[in-house]
Amino acid sequence: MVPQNLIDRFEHFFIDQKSADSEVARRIAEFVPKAKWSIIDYSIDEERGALSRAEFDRSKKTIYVTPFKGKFFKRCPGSKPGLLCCNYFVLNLGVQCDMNCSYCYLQSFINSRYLTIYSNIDDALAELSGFESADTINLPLRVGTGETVDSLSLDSLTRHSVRLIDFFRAKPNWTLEFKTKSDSVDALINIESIPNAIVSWSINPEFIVDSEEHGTATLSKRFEAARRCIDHGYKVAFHIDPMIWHPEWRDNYSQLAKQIQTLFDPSEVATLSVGALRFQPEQRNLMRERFGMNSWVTKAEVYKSRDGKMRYDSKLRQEMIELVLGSFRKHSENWKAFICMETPETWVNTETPLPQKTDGLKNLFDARVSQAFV
Amino acid sequence: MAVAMTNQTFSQIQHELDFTPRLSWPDVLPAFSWRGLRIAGFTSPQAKVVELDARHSLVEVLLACYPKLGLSELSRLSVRLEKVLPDYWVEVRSHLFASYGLHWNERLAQTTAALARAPRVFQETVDEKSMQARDLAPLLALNNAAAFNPFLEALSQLKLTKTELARTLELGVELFLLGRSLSDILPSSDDGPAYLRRLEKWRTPVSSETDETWSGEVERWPWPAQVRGQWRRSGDQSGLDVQIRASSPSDLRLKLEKLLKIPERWSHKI
Repeated sequence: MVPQNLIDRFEHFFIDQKSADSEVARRIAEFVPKAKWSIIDYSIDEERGALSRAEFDRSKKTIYVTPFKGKFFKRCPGSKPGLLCCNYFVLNLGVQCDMNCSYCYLQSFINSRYLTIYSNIDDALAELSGFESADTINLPLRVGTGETVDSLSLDSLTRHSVRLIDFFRAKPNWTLEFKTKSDSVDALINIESIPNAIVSWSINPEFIVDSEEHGTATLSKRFEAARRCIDHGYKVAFHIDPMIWHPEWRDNYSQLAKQIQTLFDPSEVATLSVGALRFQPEQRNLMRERFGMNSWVTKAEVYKSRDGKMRYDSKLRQEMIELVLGSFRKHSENWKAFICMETPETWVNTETPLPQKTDGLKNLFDARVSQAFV
Repeated sequence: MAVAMTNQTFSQIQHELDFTPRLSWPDVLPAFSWRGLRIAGFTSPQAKVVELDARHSLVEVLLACYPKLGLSELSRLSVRLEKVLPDYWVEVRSHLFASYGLHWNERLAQTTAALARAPRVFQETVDEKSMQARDLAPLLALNNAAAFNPFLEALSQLKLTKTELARTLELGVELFLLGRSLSDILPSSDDGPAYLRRLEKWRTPVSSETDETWSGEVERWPWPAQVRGQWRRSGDQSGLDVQIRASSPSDLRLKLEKLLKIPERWSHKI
């Protein structure tokens, strides 16, 4: 089933003729009223260039199903000189998100007028298979699908999760990571779980969910979905990211850490990553236009950091990150917590041991992975 | 490109494309028209208007008459052309902007429309400084652009570089949207860089206050002679910069020894 409220979120579904036989097209035809979808034999996404506020907003309401012609598999954008990175690779199965977070980095680069779903997942999996060799099959490769599209929010339409789980079932040393702010886990629960799939949630205190993460599942719904996944045999992970400064940030992030510590056992949570707000300078314009200056993101006191991104003052970042990591350290030494997309100084200035030296995190920073797959 | 001409009189002019270009049309040249649309020499004292060969496109003849146009001029040209030839405008806008090195899209159209509505003095500044569409993006966040016009007029009077001007505009828009009154935001002198520092301080009140407190604290520390300590911000980092002038190795050693007392004063948090 595709939830009615998901279908209602979109004004129209365009299906490229070349994708008409895909599973996602079949599911649209089955579950979406005929008046809301059409098969087209021309490209509707020719015009390129920066989007206006209205175009960006509209792009979240129109789905375009089409095959992707480029490379699906890329290194995580965080893997830049100057940043300590965790060997994360991304598999992009679409572009744009049906949710609407004020800080969303898609605002810095999307130039398509549609929420695009790539129909040729077979090609994506074939590309991944191409990396398989006697040398690489045993390396701890991590592949995430939530970079340019939420991994699961549209899963009731795409069923991509099922195909990916099937693929990774035969590759036990490779890890698949879904990253979502939804509670859409039904498809995952209806199939046999695999130990090398991690279902992860980006989370923030409910106050920030309400004010900045529009259209996402509430924090409690995300926790409930995580519990369902754990009970079904999946590993889960949480990304407390981006931490957003607001007057009650200490209380709210302390409370969030305590909620996790109360609801989950460290053994159930594969990793916990923590990161503070950052965005590309050019992203400010669209954020300001779309969310005004009442958002804690647009009115944030941010400065350009060494990697060119806008970030809070470095001491404030350290304090924010240390508050959360310190809470987990104090609770149990078994939490596998690390800092995401931060400069080495932040690692050094917090009391977090370098991840290469932390049990349970060493594989994430295994340099052999990046050498073998790039 | 050579643009051919045929003679035509004033009486046959049907539309004026007077977009008030910055450079006045040379008196030695006749006014030009294209398919009855006067495109150049709007204030020409000459009685005759020369009709250009209609086999050339409007974009070709405009480019021949105005090889370079600033963003404000292009904005006014767009508004005027859309008004006098609305159907034709839709057909030529992409080509016209491309001819001046810009990619037409809805966002650029909104920017040029906002610029065309801005005070003329601000438009002039934009062209003098060769500002680009992305420099003006903050204007798109304003719901009531007219209310912000006094700021744009005042901005044009300040001595600022292009980069400073773009940043001042952004800060002004953000502070205005954050609820600061215009009278509060408007500059009180023509010292552009000082004004920009003031806006930065208002925009980042918490960090600025912390930086100022540290600056005051650092000034009170017992610096040896010819040693200067300053609290400075560089991007997202702030910290102590120390400048030492030493005349000999022994002088350097002496100063470094005295400097070792500084960390004792630096032990507390502000």
